[in-house]
Amino acid sequence: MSKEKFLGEFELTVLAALLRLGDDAYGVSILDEIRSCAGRNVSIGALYSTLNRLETKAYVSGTLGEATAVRGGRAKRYFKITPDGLEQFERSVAVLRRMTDGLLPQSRGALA
Amino acid sequence: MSRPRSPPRAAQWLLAFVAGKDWEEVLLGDLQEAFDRDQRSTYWYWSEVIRALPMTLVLSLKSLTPRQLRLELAVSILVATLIWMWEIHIAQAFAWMIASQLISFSPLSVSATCKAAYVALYSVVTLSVLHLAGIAMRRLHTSWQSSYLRMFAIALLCLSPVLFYIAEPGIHDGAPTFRYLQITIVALATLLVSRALIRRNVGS
Repeated sequence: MSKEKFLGEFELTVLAALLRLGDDAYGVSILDEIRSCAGRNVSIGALYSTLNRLETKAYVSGTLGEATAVRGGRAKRYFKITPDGLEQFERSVAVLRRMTDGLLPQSRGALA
Repeated sequence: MSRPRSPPRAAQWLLAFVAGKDWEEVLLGDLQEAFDRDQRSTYWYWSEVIRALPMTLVLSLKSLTPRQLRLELAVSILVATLIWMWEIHIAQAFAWMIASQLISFSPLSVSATCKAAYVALYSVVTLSVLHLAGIAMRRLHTSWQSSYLRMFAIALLCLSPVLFYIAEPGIHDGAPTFRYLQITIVALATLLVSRALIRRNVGS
């Protein structure tokens, strides 16, 4: 596995949010999903920076959507996870699961 | 204190200015939606815009083709160098000459007259260089949108207040390092303004 194939923690969070949102994944909805599920308040700059990085890696694709009145007549940019992105996401989650499997009770015991 | 009903226009303008046409709509739309829906404050909007600026600059640069990027870089360096050289070698001397002719007629103080002459001269040269850069870019890009008058107006508005406060024509009081630092700041500001203006007017 090459070095650039690894996903960062926030990249993993963003990909998870994209999967949860499906076809309705755009800037604000992704931020909402991360806030409600992960409890993190993320700036729009940080989100787009990560999305841009994931797009460069071809894990995410973006398309310009329709303009809506609620946004002052401006269009949304929808993001979707690509097959490569999904594969990488599954691999990273599997690695995380293997690494943390049974670890939390042990760590509590070690601290006691 | 009641909340503002619309996002701060200056912040919107700043983000649109840096973002370029491709990303302006998406970013401003997202910020507007969150601002309205969650009744966010002006402070929140500004903080979001400031934190988004570096990423926005990267996105706008990435949307350029390699040829556009090379051209833009070359023109920006040329503009900054010309203006830097102009400021050091010519502007102060000319400003003194003009100011000395104007002092007897000017209702302003001597210092203010000098500063006004300096700012006027600097603006004329800056705008002329930008104008030439604009013509060069128009020749190189068929998608040029001929709104460079707006470009000059914006450059003048951006640079004049900065220049007015830091310009001290004719004063060389033994602090050359500080003076050069001031000039460098002006050149960098000019570089950023010209880069963004040319970027917005060239199209991608």
